[in-house]
Amino acid sequence: MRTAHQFAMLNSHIKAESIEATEYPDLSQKYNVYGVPKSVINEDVQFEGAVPEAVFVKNLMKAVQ
Amino acid sequence: MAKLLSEKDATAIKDYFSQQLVNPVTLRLFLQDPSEPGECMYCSETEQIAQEVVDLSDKLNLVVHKATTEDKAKEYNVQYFPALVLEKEEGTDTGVRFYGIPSGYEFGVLIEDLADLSSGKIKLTADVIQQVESVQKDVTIKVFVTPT
Repeated sequence: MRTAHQFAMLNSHIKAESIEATEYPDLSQKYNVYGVPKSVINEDVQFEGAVPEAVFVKNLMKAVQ
Repeated sequence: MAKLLSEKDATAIKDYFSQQLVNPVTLRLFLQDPSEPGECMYCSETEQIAQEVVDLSDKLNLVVHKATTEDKAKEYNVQYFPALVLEKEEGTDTGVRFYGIPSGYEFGVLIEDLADLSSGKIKLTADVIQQVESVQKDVTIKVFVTPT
């Protein structure tokens, strides 16, 4: 989660939202959140788990291609 | 009202802030207007924890908005309550949002985010920074978390 926030701080095109899953059950259901952390980039790239920054950036680049 | 932060944690964070914080940072908190239907889970606790955090450094400033459809909520593109938006001193929205109470793991991230923003130091490798900076399209990253 911190990685996503760091990305947002570096680039004004990037927004990073942390969402407390239990407080927003509708959103959690919409994005099929069964485990946390779960990341969703621009609706289409999704992955679970706390991944290293190199993997996170790879997913980010996949989402903007 | 009893404090949410223990005295021990408050002292440790105050100490950390005194070493890490350089420039002012604004925490802009959006709470649900009491006249709106539906209950906001943890709105009051989020306001309390945010206030306790900003009280630990004179470089931190808290602005509270009670809104749902108010212009500010639109301007900051806030969709749910409570929402915490982090801003740099010049009033620039960093794009960082906390939806829900920042407790547990999220609380630690908030404290570190404040240090990153205030000091301008982003601890990522040069290669990752270069890739992130190259992004020209608008991107929204949602990270779902739980308090533990």
